[in-house]
Amino acid sequence: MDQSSRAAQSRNGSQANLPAASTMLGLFEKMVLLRKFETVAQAACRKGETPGFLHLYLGQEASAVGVCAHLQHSDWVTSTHRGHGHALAKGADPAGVMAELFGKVDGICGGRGGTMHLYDRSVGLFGTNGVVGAGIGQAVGIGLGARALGTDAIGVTFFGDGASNHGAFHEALNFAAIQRAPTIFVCENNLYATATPLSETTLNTDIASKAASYGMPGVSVDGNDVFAVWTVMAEATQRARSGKGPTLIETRTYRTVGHHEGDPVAGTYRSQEEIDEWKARDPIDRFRKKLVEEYRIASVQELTDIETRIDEIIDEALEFARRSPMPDPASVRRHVFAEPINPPVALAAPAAGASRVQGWLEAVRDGIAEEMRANDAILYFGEGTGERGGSFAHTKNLWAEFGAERMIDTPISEQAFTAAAIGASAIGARTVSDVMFADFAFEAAGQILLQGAKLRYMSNGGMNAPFVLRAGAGALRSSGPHHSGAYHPIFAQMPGLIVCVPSNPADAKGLMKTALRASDPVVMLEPKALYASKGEVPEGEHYVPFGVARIARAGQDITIVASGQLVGQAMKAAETLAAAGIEAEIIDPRTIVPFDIYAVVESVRKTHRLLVVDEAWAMCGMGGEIAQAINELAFDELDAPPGRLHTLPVSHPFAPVLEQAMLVNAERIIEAAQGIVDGLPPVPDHWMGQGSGRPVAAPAPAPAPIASPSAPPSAAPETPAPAAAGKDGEEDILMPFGDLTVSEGTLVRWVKGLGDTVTSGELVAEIETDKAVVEIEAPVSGKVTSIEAEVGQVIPMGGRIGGISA
Amino acid sequence: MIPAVVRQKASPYARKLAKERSLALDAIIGTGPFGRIVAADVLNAPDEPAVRTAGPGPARIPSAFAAQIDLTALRRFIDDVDAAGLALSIEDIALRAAGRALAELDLSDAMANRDLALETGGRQIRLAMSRDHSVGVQRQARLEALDSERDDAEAEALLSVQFLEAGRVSPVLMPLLPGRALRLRLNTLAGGEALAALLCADPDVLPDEAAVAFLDSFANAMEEPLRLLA
Repeated sequence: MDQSSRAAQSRNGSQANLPAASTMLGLFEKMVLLRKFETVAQAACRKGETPGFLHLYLGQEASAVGVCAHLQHSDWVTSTHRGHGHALAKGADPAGVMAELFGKVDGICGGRGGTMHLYDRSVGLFGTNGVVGAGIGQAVGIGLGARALGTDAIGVTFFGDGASNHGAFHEALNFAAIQRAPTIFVCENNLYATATPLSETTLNTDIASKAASYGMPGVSVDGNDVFAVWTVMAEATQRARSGKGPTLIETRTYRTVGHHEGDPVAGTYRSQEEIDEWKARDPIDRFRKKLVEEYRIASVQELTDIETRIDEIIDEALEFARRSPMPDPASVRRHVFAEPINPPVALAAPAAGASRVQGWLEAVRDGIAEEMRANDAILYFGEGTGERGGSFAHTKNLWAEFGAERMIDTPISEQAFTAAAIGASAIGARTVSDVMFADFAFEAAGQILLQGAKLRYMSNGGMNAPFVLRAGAGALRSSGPHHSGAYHPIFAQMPGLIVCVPSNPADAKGLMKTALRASDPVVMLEPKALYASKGEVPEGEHYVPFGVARIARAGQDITIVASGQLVGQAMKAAETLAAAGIEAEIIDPRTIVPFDIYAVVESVRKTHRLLVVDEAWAMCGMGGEIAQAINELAFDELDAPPGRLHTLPVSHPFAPVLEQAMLVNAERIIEAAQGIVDGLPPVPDHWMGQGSGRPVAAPAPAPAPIASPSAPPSAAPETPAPAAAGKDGEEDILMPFGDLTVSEGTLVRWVKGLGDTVTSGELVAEIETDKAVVEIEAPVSGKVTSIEAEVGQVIPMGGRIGGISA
Repeated sequence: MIPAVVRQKASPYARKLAKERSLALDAIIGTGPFGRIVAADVLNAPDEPAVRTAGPGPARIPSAFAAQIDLTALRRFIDDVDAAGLALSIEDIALRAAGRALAELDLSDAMANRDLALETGGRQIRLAMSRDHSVGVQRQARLEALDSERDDAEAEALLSVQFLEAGRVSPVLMPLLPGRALRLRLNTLAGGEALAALLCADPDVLPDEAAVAFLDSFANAMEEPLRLLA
């Protein structure tokens, strides 16, 4: 508050240190605008003219006005549930905002967003927000996105003291600091998180001091002194714009109304005396007095004239809101997705051309690299996806080509970098948020489901978040309960998300490229069991459109819908079924949203039978969804009840025999398909109903003992078998089993030759995988008596390359 | 009263095919689960005017269930009681077992009548199979009724029972008699060591599960006849 006192001192000397009179009067005018707007909105709310809740900004005007006075048109603010003031201070049209509070068609979001979801791209209003802390990380992304776009725009985020105890705050500050993001964090400390005093939620109530934890400046300021706020913000803005990084500003202020309209002003958590004390420090009254008496910039009459002018503006805003029509109910489905949903490039007929065999990871890396070359504003956020090339080698070489400013290595802060991905993408950049495992997406679930997915709709089509959430999904050899989930139905439930589950390298690449051209958020769930797979991938530009299924196999007896890694299992099952005279048609939808249901309908018209297999769970899942769609669209074509086969409703167990017991595999698909051909679909048991209509519970059969530890379970884990059996008297030199997503490597060199003597642990050979060079060590001491692989040969995991006689 | 309407089980596609071909479903034998008519049944149906929908009013296809019953224990039982001076036949025990299985059925109050009717020579004899009467008393009543000329076809009964001579050909389905929700046909198999039971049931009156339970209970009683004396 050095600056503040400096300003106060100016009263005695010349006013050279003060900004121009027009600036000072502008601050006054804006505060009056905010005050009068909220007062009128409050009256309208009390009359029942505004639907829903209303959280008023009364008393806190100096904070928004002092901050936003420094912002350019191209800068952005993210805000809170108490955000009318921020919207108006950033330049939103009062009439449009008022109409939005009324839920009218002329509101700035056409009545779709309302008070807590005000967006206006034209003035850099990223949005008020119904979720505490949700806008903080978005502002970091705005800063990073602006930098990628080559502008000097900055992201400013307003949030309350309550949010300063939210993980989003801490993750975002840390991420912004390490990235030197052009972002300013403005914590409006009004002392209460709804009704909970700050002092009861943290032992460190000095919020500005928390900046030190993240290596950025933190300053607290009298939030009821607009000029003090203005002065602090001047420096923070200069820092942000000049690339010095973020600042945390704590504006200490007070709301002089209840938490929301209808909530008592005093309540049980604060006293009338306290309120009166703060009202005596009213930001507008104080500034009026200073302008007249201390700064001598304006007369009382001049300020009264300003207030009269604002009265007229607000009266017009109220009339505008009242006159505006209600939105057309017929429009309710608009602005969920881009129209059309596919980018034009994905709809162009694919040029028939050459293809080559590529591994999954390489194909997708190529796709990302091609798009990053074509668009400088694509940023990639992930943990270890920078210089280290990703935990699965899935971003290998991208850091070397595109650098650390685009291949951004993040802290383990899924919430922050996903919020940043949304923020950056919404202002014109494009982003990938790589959460490594699909399970970890839930760390950022609020950002994905509540922010990214809803942005287009809430903003009436004015905003969108074309980011890609990238994750390895599904079971892979004992990855366990926290690294195995297939969660596509959860994401598919939320309107606004595109959900991809590719089954082969070509589709994975093509869908990723389309995602990086699309206009909506895309959840890209790559089955990590397929990372080590290979397939033909078209050379050159290759895009796969959303919502167009692929017929993986033609047949006329039963339709099997499968996606991801179950396409392969279904294909395997189809071979056995064919031998039994049942020709299965396999439909790979490729995208779960949009879903190409008519491909399934067309197939069922031919086969008259349907089996849905899916790696996610059955409850509210793919089987029920698709089967019911067929009931609705093709009931008369069914010659048997549709069947479904899902992963059993348990968490993914670690022990291989347990894991195999829960997963869908080819054998179970065969059994289910045969059942449906016989008119008897498999019946799941995930409902757990406890009502009287349930069948009498049969005693659970005792688990069958495993005959012998070495006996493979009927559904054997697909562990690559060693390539060759050993020789008698020799210890095998093997390509070791290691990374779950690597299936093979290339022999780079033999360090030892036939007849050489080696000691146990000594380097014998080197094999290069997609991720690293693996040093092959002698398993025992002895003499190398077999060399069975040549340099350059591809060795499967577990494969024998030679032998040592002890 | 027993409703006369029986719903035909048929897959939606089979219904569509039958409609396109103007075939009456009730003239088609369903080979799917629970007698469900599936597309193949329609496609394989004889293309005769008799099965056209334009034909006379529909006859209903009931659900049908078959069971094979081992008679070893029953024959030994009959021999034992015979040695004790009591004459009983397989028919006596079968009717007793059917009556017991009917009594065990979980039916609504509207279906309180658990009597059965014996089909004989084109007429029916209603028999009250109360537990209060011994097997011997019931046998006496049956023999007297057979000697009379009475026909109980109009009388209330849930089940009709028919005994058939042994032979190599057995029925796989039969129509229900008017007013009867169940029809049980029994014939000893060649050699006399086993009894083939065919149960047809009106699925609208008696759910398949109940029909299965009835037949199962009947078969168990026949194979453990001592229980019937309890």
